[in-house]
Amino acid sequence: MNTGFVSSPQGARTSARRLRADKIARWVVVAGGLGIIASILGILAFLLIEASPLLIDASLSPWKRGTNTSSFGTKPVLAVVVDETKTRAIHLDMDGVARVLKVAEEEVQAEKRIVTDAEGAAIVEARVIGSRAMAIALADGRIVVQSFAWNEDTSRIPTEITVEFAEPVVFTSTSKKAPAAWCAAFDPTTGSSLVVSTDATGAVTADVVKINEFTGEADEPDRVSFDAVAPLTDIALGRDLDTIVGATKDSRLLHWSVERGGAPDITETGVREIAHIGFLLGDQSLIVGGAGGEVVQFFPTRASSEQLRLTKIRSFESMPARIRTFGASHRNKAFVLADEAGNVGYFYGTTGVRSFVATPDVGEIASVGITPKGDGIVVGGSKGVAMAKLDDPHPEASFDALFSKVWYEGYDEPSYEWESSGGAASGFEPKFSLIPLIFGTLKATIFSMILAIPLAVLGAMFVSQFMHPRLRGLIKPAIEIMAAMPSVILGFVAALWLAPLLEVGFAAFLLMLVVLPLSVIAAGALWMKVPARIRGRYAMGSEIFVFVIAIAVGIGICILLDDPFESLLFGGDFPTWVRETLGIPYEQKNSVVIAIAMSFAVVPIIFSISEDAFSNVPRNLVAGSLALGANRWQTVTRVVLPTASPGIFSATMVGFGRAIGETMIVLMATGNTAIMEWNPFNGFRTLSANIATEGPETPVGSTHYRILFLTALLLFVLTFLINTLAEVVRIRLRKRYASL
Amino acid sequence: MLSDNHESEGVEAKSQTERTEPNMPDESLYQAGRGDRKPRQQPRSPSAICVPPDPIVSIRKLSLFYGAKQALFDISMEIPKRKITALIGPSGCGKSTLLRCVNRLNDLIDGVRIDGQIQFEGTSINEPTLDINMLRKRIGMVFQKSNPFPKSIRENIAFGPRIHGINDKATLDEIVEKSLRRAALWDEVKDRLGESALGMSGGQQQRLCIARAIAVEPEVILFDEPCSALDPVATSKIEDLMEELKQDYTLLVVTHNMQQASRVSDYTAFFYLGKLIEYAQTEDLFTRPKMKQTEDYISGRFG
Ligand SMILES: Nc1ncnc2c1ncn2[C@@H]1O[C@H](COP(=O)(O)OP(=O)(O)OP(=O)(O)O)[C@@H](O)[C@H]1O
Ligand SMILES: [Mg+2]
Repeated sequence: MNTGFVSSPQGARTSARRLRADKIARWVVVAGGLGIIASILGILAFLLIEASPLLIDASLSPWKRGTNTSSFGTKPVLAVVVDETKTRAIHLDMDGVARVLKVAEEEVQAEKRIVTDAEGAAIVEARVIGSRAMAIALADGRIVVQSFAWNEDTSRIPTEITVEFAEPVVFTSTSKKAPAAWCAAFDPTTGSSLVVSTDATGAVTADVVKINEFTGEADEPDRVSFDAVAPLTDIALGRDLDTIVGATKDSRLLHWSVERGGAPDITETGVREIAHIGFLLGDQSLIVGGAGGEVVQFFPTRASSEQLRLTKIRSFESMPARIRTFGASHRNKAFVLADEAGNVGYFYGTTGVRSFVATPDVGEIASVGITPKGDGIVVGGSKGVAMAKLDDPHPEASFDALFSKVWYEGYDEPSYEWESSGGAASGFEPKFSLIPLIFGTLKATIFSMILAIPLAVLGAMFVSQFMHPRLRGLIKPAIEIMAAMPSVILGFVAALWLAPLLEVGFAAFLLMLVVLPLSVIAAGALWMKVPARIRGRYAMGSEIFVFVIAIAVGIGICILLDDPFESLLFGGDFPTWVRETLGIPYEQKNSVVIAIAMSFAVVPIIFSISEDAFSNVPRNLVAGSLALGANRWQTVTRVVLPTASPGIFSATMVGFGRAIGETMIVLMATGNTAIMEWNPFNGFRTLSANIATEGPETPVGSTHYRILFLTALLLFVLTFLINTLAEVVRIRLRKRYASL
Repeated sequence: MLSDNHESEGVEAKSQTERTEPNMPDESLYQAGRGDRKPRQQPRSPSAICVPPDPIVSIRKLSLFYGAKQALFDISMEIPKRKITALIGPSGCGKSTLLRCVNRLNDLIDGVRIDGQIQFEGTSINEPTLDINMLRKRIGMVFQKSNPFPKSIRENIAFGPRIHGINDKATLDEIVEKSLRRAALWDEVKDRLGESALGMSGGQQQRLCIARAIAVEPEVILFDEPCSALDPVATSKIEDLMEELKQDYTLLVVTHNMQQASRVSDYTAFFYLGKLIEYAQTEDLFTRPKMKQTEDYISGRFG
């Protein structure tokens, strides 16, 4: 028994063992701490890595020109178009011959003479229509639409892509003269085409050719004529084969409809001289290219309840020279413009960005286009064809698009919108403003905090300062257990029980906000009226039972008065009253429901931390205050509350952090529409609920996917900042009161 | 005016009769509380408890229970006005408990039960109808561990007056200065009244607490070992201060320091195991203790 302590070698061993244990413990603690820091940094880094490609600007590879003079084209090219895989290109030369090129091999796969009787009728101009047709205007007034199909021959390995030319559709003009301006449109699904041309006076003829469903041959054209308004410089057509927009010499836009006929809507552009116009994907946005290189976007907005009018939306950075030709993306709102100096500019409609201007060195550019997948630019000019690889994976996401108002097509003014489910083909663009989500998060948080903070802080004050200690020992753990309630249950109950209940009983709820505090105050006053002799028999803090009874009675009164109150003030039905008298929407799953449900999640946290803050106020301060003759209320408000206030602040911050990140309750108990209104009777969409709903659906690597990661990063940073603030305040508090 | 002598005699007579009467229940309680242990105390001699003249606080047959545990046994004593009365006795004998009874700070403690009476200027302080805040305003307290509020020095002093409805800034400034001067603190802190009181030294903090207590103009100030955490210099400052305060206030001081008690107090009460053993003029008690326990205690032969 005494051996371990007397002999010195053994003593040394003991101490060595203890040192070792000490060392191991320290390493375990350090490793644990570092592990936590590392994993947080890891999450942060991961989010950053996933979101960072959003910031990458569009880039273009060096231009690739053909080396073989016969094939890739060193001869003048009027129009050029490539297929989805970029392995085939079709270009049209001055003689009206279309050649299918194998791009990599630089050899001609097939060729077709489109204009068979070209004698005396030189080609004036050619245009690429979409990726499945070209149109050629001839000096004798004829316009030929040549459509083709890209076929995949899967019998060969590797699969070979071939081009199948359809029978060209020929439009003739009565004047037998080359049109002053013209345009053609082709609908690949029906095979129908629209050709519009104008003469020097500005009179417009529109021919619609439909393909007979049975014979497969072209019907006789339906011709619609429009009276001249002014001589036109260029025409743009919608893919609906109905919309016609003409640019006049005096810089106006004339807007016709084939179906409606009659006089056009007229819009002043303000551009000095219009050189070229064209539609972006979706046929809503019209890009106007000026003679001075100006680039302006227009689309229809609601001028009155009935009428849509083309409105100038935004100007882009100008091109160096007069705009010559235009090509729109087939996937998004990107477009390319070529000017007369041989420059090609790449733009993005929605964000108003000109990413770059490049010079492909093909002489005078006749045709410019974006490849079908949006991964390349192809130009044709007097010195042949050139292609370059385009890398613009996330054109919709710019800082401005994410955080400032954007004027989207179909909207009457710039706004913050979140609508991620835009489809590429529909022309309906995704809208990625984070502001509505941030707004929704703040709205959820603020509405919840308005309810939760007073409830939790005053509750903590009461429990720690006024309640009988034995009851406090019961209540505090009970409330803390509430914090462990899975929020999915809260959301479920809120959505399926509370929301419908509140819809019918909102009047009672409003009453409670007034009646319950009043009934507690009245109960307190009554209790003070009880003769001190009787009151003195009960221990301090037992008045809680009086309050509990008062609250129960108050709730009963509110429920009883619900109907009379509702009919008296709200005409019988509260939601109807909100809609009709206040003129704002009432949704069943609204912000009030969220505030109540979220309170159940947040109150326990705030309560618990602020109760600690209250209880940690040294008792001798309380005694000091009481010994000076202060009553309990004065002591609590003037000594305890100020001393506990940093702790309470820290508690509300932690509650704030919890509310910001809360997902299930808001997901289940709101409509999740990304609107930005402070109306308490409708819903919102929060960052967290948005991630929860859209995360599983989004294709990995897409812009949407990356923006979701950005929102996750935002959420992470937000909660991190708030919790850090809370912690800093807590530490400062501890230092400040260390001497107490 | 009644002569001191006459009054004291009257009170003494009264307390004597009272004391003989409840002796029986007291003994039985004592027996019940201690089980089969034999009482080792000598029988009390009535002459061991003096009755000073002109009392402001009268404690009558006071017993106090913390739950089932009795902490004070049938205490009766008179606290003379404008004198310093010291309470001494070994740790745990109930000095602080008795002090807290006087301003009813025991109300804060759960499960405290009191028998008997304390009168302050002739009215019982244990009536449920009593305005307890007014009582505490008139009977101030300075605690063993200084407890300034985490506020500025000025706000610490102004706290009490504000509580009692003084909000005029000039008046408050006046009170602050006066109280700090009385607490002999003014010269040390007059240039930093706006600074936090927590930045002061321990001795300064304790004097601040005294100034804070003075600021509400009490009649009695209770001191619970005010110097136990202070060095001799700070202690002597506070002792001087007590001497000075005696002019206007009645002081009831708990102390473990025999020298302190003999230096500053006019009367001294010795407590042992919750009982008042001896109460006499300080000089008498320290030079001619009547009781054996008192003698043992003051001579340090206590075991
Ligand atoms: N809040 C309380 N609850 C229960 N018992 C208590 C409480 N406060 C004090 N006591 C008991 O009452 C008795 C008297 O305590 P009190 O603090 O009055 O002693 P004291 O004379 O002031 O001692 P000290 O000189 O150490 O301060 C002690 O036995 C103590 O254990
Ligand atoms: Mg004590």
